Amino acid sequence: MEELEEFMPDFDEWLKNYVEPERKFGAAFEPDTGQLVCVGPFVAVQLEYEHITEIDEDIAVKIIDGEIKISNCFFDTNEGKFEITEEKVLNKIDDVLHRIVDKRWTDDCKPDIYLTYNKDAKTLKVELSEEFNGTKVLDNEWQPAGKRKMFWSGETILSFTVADYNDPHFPQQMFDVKLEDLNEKFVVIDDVDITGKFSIFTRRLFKNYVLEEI
Amino acid sequence: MNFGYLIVVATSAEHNYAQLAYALALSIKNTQKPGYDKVALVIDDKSQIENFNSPWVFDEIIEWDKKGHWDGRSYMDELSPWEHTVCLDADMLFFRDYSHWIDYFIKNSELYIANTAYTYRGELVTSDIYRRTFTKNSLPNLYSFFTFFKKDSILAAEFFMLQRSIMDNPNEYINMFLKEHTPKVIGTDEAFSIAAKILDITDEIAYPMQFPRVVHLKGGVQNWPWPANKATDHVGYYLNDKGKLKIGSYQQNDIVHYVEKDKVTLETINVLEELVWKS
Repeated sequence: MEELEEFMPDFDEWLKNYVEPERKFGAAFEPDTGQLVCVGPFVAVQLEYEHITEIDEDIAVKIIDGEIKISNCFFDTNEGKFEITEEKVLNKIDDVLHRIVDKRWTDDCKPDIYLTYNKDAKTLKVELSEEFNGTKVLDNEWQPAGKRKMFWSGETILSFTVADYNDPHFPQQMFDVKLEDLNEKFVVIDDVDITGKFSIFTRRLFKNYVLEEI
Repeated sequence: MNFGYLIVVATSAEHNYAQLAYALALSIKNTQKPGYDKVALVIDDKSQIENFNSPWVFDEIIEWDKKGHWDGRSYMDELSPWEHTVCLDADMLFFRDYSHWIDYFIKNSELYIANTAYTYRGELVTSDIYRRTFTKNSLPNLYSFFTFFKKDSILAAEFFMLQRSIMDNPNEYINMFLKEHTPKVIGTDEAFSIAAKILDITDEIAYPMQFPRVVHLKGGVQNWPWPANKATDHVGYYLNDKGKLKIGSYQQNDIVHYVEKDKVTLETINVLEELVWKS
């Protein structure tokens, strides 16, 4: 008993010199897609997975607590960056049936998707903003344009309905554009023969859509 | 006949009420018969309407800044330049001719205040979600958004004088008439209702009628089985180039009190202006 007491450290002394071990969180990901598959203490994750990256504690805790869905988290293997995608929930009527505003009536809107209707050629050009790796060069006021990373599951389709002016109950034409076709390119829809004033409606996957008539 | 509509607005940091009043005046010019389409605007700062393309849609412009926000409506009887007036909220739009009803009011009434509202589907609003104060305190359900009055009416003069007193001295009336569900601020609707109750004139100024039919677009009174804050989160709001409005798939033929101030944009104004210019 006396021997044991001899080896017991003084608690106050121990507390004074205590250094909290560094907490390190790791995330395992699929090397091909970057999709995160596991988050936890770095050492534990390292034991089970080959492809891992260190992530901030606050994000790790949020993922573990379910505040951030792990299915929305990706690791960009090219840039070595961790990304959380925005979960797009379509729950307002404007999200599922969004009328694309005419450029004439919008002053301070940075377009994510830009549509140009050529009345004479009867064509509609669909472009993605340069921020998302598209061809639409943003106006000077938005320069220098940053690059935003988006991850889309599967083949994301942008659906457009040309209808009577501000009345989706009278559709004239419908067309779809694959989002991947707007990556560094644009899409031109031919034979868009519109009668009178018109509006274009879409499912609102991006925040800002702008239409220009030329 | 000297009849006209009256819109009272004041400068607000949140909304451009002058623009809402302009849209309403345009819609009145587009839908009402000559002689029934006069509009007077009461505004605290005339410069707000200088940039409008067609300020002539306001037949009379009265600069008046004695009261802010909505409170100026309490003075509608003193401010109106018309012998017979319908005072409206600025965030409303007209879609058809009501001259026959105006003839009815002029012939039969000195003061009439709307006492019903409708959903965008044309159903009578029965919910009191925004009007608990009225039901809890047994007040008549009056909506000041459509108020007809005759300028030289003693009844109207007494009514407006009393409701001004209520607005100016709310505490004196709260203890007596608004014991339950007491609002933080007594608004025009509450003051109208208390005044009607004190004077015991509800049956004279708010009897059941088929007019005015005003669609109230507050989310909570659309008779939906789910709670709704903004109606247009759930149904689309579509004003076409002919100035016709659909809410969801329902064509609107009544007066629409759209509530959400962002529904009137420069594009909306342009549509209404073009129709006025063509007519």
